[in-house]
Amino acid sequence: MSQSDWYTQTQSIMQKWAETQQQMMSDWMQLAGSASSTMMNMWQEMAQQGVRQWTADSDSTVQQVADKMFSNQAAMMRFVELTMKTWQSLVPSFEGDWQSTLTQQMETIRTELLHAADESMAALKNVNHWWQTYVEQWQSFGTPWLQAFQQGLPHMAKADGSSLVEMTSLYWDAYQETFGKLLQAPGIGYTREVDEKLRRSFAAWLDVQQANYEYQVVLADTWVKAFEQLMVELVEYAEKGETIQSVRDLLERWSATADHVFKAAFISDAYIYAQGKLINATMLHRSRQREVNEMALKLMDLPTRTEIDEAHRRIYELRKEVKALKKQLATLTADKKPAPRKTNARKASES
Amino acid sequence: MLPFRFDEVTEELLEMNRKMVEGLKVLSGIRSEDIQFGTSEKEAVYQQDHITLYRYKPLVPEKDVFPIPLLISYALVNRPYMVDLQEDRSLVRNLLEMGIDIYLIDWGYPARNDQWISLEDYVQGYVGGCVDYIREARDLESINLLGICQGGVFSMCYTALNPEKIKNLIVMVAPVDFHVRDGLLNVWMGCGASTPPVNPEWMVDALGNIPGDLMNFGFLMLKPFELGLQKYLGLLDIIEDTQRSVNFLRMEKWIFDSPDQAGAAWSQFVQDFYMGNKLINGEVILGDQRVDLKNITMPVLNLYAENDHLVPPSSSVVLKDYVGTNDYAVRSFPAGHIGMYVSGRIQKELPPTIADWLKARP
Repeated sequence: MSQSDWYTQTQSIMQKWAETQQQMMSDWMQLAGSASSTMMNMWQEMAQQGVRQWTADSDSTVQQVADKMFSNQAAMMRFVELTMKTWQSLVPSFEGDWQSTLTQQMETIRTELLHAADESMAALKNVNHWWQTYVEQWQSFGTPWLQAFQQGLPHMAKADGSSLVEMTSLYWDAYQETFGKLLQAPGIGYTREVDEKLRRSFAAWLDVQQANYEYQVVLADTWVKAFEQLMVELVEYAEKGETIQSVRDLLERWSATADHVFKAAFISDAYIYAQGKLINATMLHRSRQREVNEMALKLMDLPTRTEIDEAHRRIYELRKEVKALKKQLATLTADKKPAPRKTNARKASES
Repeated sequence: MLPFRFDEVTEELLEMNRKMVEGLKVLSGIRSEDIQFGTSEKEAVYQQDHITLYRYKPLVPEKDVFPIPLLISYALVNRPYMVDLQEDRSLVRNLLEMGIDIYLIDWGYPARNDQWISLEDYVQGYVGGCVDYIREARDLESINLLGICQGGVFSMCYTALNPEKIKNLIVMVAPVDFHVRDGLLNVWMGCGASTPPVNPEWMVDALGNIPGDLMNFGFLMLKPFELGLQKYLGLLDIIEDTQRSVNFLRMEKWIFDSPDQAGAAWSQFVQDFYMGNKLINGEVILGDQRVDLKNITMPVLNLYAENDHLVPPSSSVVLKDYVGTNDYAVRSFPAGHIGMYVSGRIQKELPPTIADWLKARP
């Protein structure tokens, strides 16, 4: 399709999207409950896909910016919807205790925000279940690349002879007899190390889930505080008889309020602790995961990340040594030559 | 009691969507070659590992070029072409027009095999290599050094260790006291915490190098709504103007062009500077040498941004208390960290401040 075709098509989809937005906005404004957002999301998705095609030949920055504009537009509508719904719940109590209603409303939002995290944490209590899941994940981990290995090597074998086929079988058998079965084997002898590494990795993974939950709690709390602050400000405007002039105006107020509340939260010990814990747990898990990965790689006679890193470290040290020796050599050579005239910086400026 | 008027909101939404479609038409016509950086002509004159030293072509007759060159050392976290972003937003071009002879270190993109590069390598190896090259090439005992942000920290360290090679030192938006609590980065990295919130060694162990995207995410989180929402809403106001859209995209490209950080150097920087605040305590050790800021006895110009959220002014202004010079000047500008390079107003004031100060100290 030509540029103008994309333009026309996207324009038409965007029109539909705008009409749906208008309809939703109309419902919200009349406090009549909201229409389903499914249609709006659908039009947005279609428009976004069209734009991706449209900008396919453009610089990647153009594509990223276009994507962000769409996601922001969608986020904007969701935010307006949330604002309107909250407003709607506050209206009946404006003559009385709207603050209590707002607090209740915020509690509902907080609960909704944490729902998914709560569910996963509740499930985590059943450690045995998760251990099984984890082990299953690891068992399936090797399968795709072993399959690729199996599919790939016979092709190579056509050119190189049957020895490679035998090698494939050897590797496959080795896998089946060792790593593939180790996860079900009792933790004794040869398998003890594997078992230990897998359990350490699992423990680190549990820590990530725990840390992630704690982080989500702090984040959800901050979101709710920011939104609550915005609603208080909106009520104050309304009480003064002032109006927000536009969606942009609302979003700018939201952005300023939220950045302020988030900054206060980000600097708190609770946030710093939660963020640090999540980062540390994620990093430790990644390292533990690598230990398990590397067992499999060693069995396959493939170089591991640790081995490659070590090789890089040695190259780095040798390179550094060569640099030092070159410098030394240059100094020794220079000592034998008559000293070059060095211009004093001050003299240079005067000349 | 409603906070909005429906008819106005509807009109606004229609207008926003119209602008988006028209704007996308503009954006889709912009190609990679339209979003180029750095209009000033330059030549690669020295290379060491993945770093390159460039010399910019003077824009004034040779006889008017100030004889002591200025080496610019930028931060590692973003690409140094920010100092020469585009013709009308270029600190480099403005300085060239004022007769300053400019060299710039391009730190390149560290690969996984560069994870062992240390801070000593950056300071003594790379900055040192560039300084020595220029001294040799220009037959000078000492040259001028301008360090920006983290590059300012490197410049302070280098100058303290090699004071005889630096004629005048300029630092711009450079952190000095890392334990000020008005900077989120400082707090997140553990300033003042009895137990550091993050373990840099675990990060390096897990990742090798610290991914640029991770660093960028952290920077965006410092102002999540302004940088994630408001910025793109603001784009709608200019999107139909091709030139302004190109400027926006160029800036966007720069922001997300974040090289990975060499693991060992990053870890030491976080531990010694952010966590340990060792720079002002004279405890930074590079190789077998201790960095003592009191050795900085040559003239020093300290430039900082009044609204800097990455390097708070309180972190920069204290430099005077720690250097050994008697010729110390400080100047602030009403801008943020990035505004120092791209704000039209600042670019009218900043280059002459630098050029005049240097020319007064030949």
